[in-house]
Amino acid sequence: MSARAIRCARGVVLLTLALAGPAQAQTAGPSPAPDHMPKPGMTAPEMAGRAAGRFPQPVRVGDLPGRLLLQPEESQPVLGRVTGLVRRNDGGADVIVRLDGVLGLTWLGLQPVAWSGVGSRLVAVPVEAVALLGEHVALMGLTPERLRALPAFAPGSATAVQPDETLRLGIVRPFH
Amino acid sequence: MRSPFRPRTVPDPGILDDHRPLVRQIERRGLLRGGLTLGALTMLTGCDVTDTTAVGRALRAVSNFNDGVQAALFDPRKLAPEYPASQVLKPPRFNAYYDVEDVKPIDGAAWRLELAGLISDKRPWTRRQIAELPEREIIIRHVCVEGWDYIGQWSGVPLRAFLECVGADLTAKYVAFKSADDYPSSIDMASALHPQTLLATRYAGAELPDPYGYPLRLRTAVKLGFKNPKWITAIEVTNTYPGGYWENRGFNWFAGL
Amino acid sequence: MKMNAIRSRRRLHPWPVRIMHWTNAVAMVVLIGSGCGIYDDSVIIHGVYFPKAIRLGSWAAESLLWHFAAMWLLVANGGAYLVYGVATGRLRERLLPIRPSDIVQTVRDTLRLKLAHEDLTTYNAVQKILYIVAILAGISQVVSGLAIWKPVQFSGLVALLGGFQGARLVHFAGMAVLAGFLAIHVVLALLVPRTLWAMLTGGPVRQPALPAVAREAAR
Repeated sequence: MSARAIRCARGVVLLTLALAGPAQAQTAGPSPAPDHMPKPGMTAPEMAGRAAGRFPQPVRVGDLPGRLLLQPEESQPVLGRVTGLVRRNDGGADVIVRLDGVLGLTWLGLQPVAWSGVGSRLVAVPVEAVALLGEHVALMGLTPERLRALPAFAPGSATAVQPDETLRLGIVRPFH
Repeated sequence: MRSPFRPRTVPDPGILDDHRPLVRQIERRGLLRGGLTLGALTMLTGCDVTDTTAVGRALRAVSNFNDGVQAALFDPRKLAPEYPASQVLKPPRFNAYYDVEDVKPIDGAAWRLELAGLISDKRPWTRRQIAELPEREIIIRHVCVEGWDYIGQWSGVPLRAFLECVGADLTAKYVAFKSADDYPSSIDMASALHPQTLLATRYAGAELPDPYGYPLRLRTAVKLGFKNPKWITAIEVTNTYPGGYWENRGFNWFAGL
Repeated sequence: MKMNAIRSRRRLHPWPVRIMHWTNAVAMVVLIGSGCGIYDDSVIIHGVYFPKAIRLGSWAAESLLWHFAAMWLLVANGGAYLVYGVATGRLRERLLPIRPSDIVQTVRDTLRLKLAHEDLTTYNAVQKILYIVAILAGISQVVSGLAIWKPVQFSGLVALLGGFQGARLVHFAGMAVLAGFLAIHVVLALLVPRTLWAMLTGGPVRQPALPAVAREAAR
């Protein structure tokens, strides 16, 4: 029974491939792959330099909490959710992001509940490391590994930026 | 004044003699088709269409047929839904065929909007002259061919008012645009005359920021996002199918919502 | 009575049904493959993404060309099928009635791997439900597809489906239902190859339909 099922599944895939084949031979092609992937080990000035090149636009701080933080690749995986912004000692600002907990609900596609899950924690990400992607926020200056390696942020350990304040954040085009 | 839509250097007329048999064949084909349909035009002008396989041609033919279906479905009096200001995304989503880092801002003082084709008054326009025209604001959904959408608040001159003002032939088939980022585009006249089609100069009440097309872009509620060229430098009214950046690469031309 | 006599001499799958079945199979595979390519251009569920191997079209524009070509094939064929099915009474005759007791019985049989296919001319209750779900999903795909294609001309549909992304989600879910149907359908057809053969050649000449009571007694 299972061998038959596998054979049939393979048949479906082959049929799809056979149909996809001629299409793939025709190439017009989308625009070249964008050079927006974060470089591992980027220094703070480098990060700020790249952020400045992304045409920072005014955004109301109160409009940011609740936005998804996305990884800049085609499948747009969710890395976390923005909870607010705090002032840094150097006058800049950090985006506070809640990372997914041990249940891995983000991975399962359950974004609405993932950040209330067990083991989720907050991290502070420099605003220079993120950019606005429509109604989302994309992680541009850090790799996901470095994001997850950031120390936990203790709520109340820094001054919150008020919702009515306006900040400038870089923008980015969709990833594909 | 030379039309901005025509090449600066004219090709050697000898080319015509070299390719006379081919030209004659094309003319014959045109006659056989009993006139120039949109489909025939697309086939003949060809542009950057690299897909010449039989399957590719068949798919293109269906796409051209769909242009006609969409034109028939298009109701010029049907207004797109408008939304409350509280739903407006600020700033809007950015998109282009290149990264945002490569956006080249335009000097608004030196900028001119040039006109070409079936327009009686082809004098170029400055920003200040355009600002004196009547303005309209629309809060509409932007739908991208990729699949994402957002609500945006745009203001500017209705394209209909502008075309009437410059004495454009409103019975012509196409309105074509040239832009500073080499992103040509074109729409059908019926969509150009739709009340929710603007030459936008502002977003959410503020001057259009650089990456969104300052000083002038098209914003129409009845077309997909890629039919809204930014940083417009010239407008032409024509009966010759003008194509466009993505249209020449395989996206459907009419792309109506 | 005379009508019944004519109908009883019909083959299990008359030629129009076979043509429409295979046309529909091609249209569905093309629509699913190209739909995956369109989906990938801007994912609906973050992290859910289709590999290039199952996408039809080397990039979004090509996938769209395929999708809108297969769309006409599906609409024309599906419309013809519904008209044919209603006009000849095939839909009602083969898909109705569905009794709850039959469903329980068929599910029980299926779980015990007792795939009763001795008689190809009648569908069991689960088969009936599967076919009805597939037809309803197909209709839902047309409605949600229309909303995505023409969100201004049919703005009422978009509002009904909970906005543009809602319409996309419904269209995606409908595709998932149809893909699931397709998988079950193909597996079952391969397990009982006579059904596949019947859909190619027309199958056995049908016996006059027995009244429900007689069928019940024959069990």
